[in-house]
Amino acid sequence: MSLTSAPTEEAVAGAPAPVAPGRAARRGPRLGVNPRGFAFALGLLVVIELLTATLVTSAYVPRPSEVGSALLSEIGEGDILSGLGDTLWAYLQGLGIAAGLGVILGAALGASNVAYQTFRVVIEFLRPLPSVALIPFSILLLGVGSTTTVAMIAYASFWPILFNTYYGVRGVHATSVETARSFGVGGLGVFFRVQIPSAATSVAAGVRISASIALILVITVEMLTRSGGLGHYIVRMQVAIRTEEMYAGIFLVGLIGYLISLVVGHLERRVVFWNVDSREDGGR
Amino acid sequence: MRRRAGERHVAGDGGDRTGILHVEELRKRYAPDTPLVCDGLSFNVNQGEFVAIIGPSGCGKSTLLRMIAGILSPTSGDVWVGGRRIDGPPPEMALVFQDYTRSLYPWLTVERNVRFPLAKRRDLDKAEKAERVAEAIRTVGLTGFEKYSPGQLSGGMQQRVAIARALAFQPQILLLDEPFASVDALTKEGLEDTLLDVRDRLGASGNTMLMVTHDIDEAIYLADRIVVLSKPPCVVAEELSVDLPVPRTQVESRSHPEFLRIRAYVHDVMGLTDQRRRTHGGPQPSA
Ligand SMILES: Nc1ncnc2c1ncn2[C@@H]1O[C@H](COP(=O)(O)OP(=O)(O)OP(=O)(O)O)[C@@H](O)[C@H]1O
Ligand SMILES: [Mg+2]
Repeated sequence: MSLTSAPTEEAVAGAPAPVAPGRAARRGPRLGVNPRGFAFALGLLVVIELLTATLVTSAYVPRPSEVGSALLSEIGEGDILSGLGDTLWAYLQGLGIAAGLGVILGAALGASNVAYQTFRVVIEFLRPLPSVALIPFSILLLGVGSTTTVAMIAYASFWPILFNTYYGVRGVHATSVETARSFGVGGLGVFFRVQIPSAATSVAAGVRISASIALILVITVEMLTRSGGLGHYIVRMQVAIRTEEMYAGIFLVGLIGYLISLVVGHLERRVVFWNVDSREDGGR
Repeated sequence: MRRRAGERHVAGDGGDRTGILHVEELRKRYAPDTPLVCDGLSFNVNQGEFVAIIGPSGCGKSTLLRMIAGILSPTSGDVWVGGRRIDGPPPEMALVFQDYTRSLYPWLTVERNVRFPLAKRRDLDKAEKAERVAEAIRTVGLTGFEKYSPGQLSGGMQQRVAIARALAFQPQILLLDEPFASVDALTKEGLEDTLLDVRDRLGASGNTMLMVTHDIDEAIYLADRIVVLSKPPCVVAEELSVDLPVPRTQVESRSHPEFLRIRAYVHDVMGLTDQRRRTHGGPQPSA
């Protein structure tokens, strides 16, 4: 072999052909439809329909078809839809605030030992406190209404995002940091160009956890404070013993949860595409 | 100053600090009450020289390179680069890390990884940066893979991305920590020649290279001089110059009598390191 630069031919020959590069190959299924899963769900509905039509004849366990027609007529009247709108809006606001504050404060704590030492005791005290325990306090302070709902959602979903961001920034591998430093990148550059991006997978995991916590919180607070939204709708229907409508409300909450996890999973695969965890679950 | 293989190296004989790189009595202990990793390393690297460092696994080779690169501070001793004592990463140096998977950034494409050290440089315009990046990627034979992310490449390809990134930086001193450990034999030969090429192209003013390797043959083929480290805590067990004719070529150089002689000698030195340390009054191994 001569002194010409020649790793090229042999090296590239054994490698995958350089076509269709980029993220697409990594992304996995899109908002994937899982035919088998849907078939099973439909089958289950049919079985429940048959059971409730024959064996289980309690007035409190309506047939899925009755729930379905109740849902359609409620949608026609608009009551359930405005509840759905309130719930979604509070959910988005609460989660958005939590994400913004959680990422900024988590990153700040991760960047500075002094900040971490300062806030640590307060954080460790507040974190295990179940957020629903704060509802009475929040009602006194903020009154009954969407402000309390949003505040409680934000409070509860703040913690996973805060801690995941903190540990993500902290957990960056020494070699990643040293690489940047060896190229003369300074402290601030290392923070923004290495620590923050490498924390992204961990932040995404935090957001995924908080996305479900926020849904639990929004429904709970709406039920407890009776301040509108799907939670309140479900309680109203329960009190009025309109079981079909009540189940229609519950079904909608379940549907929101399902769609949220689809959307969050999809975003995660796109934004932190390099993360193995977020690619594990295939079609849903 | 060149020594023939077989001549003794006198540890700590100083050397001049005016060389491009001078390592003086480096000691490293990672934490109190842990054993020393490096125990008084001294050697000198001249401008344009290719020096290979070999030593048994775990003897502190990576530790040494990280101290030279200014990202790990020694417990005692100094590193001098271009006549200046360093206390941080010197701007004329780049290090190719042994742990290339952690060293590449998975959120950046191959191209952006290679561009990373240039991204914030104000003295280069966009076109110059692009040219350097393309050139470096071409040099390691990864043209066509610019838009891949590191996770989509094989281990050997990732290692070549890391090398390309260091080349794009165009350092005066290139430090390499077992850069070819996970490429196949053919690619390895190609990359070895690429390194020699890069050096030739930059001429006498150009690249000083300091490379850690496990591979004695690779060290002889590439280097002008070989520094053999002892078992931990490591000291310089031996320094020898490689007087193989240039230009070196894989087949001819590796069958040259001088190559075979040095090879036998280095094997001997590495096998006898313990005994040599005893005869030369170094610290005794405890067990
Ligand atoms: N960050 C660290 N903290 C504590 N000890 C360390 C650290 N890095 C390395 N060491 C210790 O220093 C010693 C030498 O490690 P080093 O990685 O420098 O060896 P090496 O010669 O590069 O080995 P190899 O050939 O296997 O790469 C080892 O005993 C290791 O446990
Ligand atoms: Mg090593």
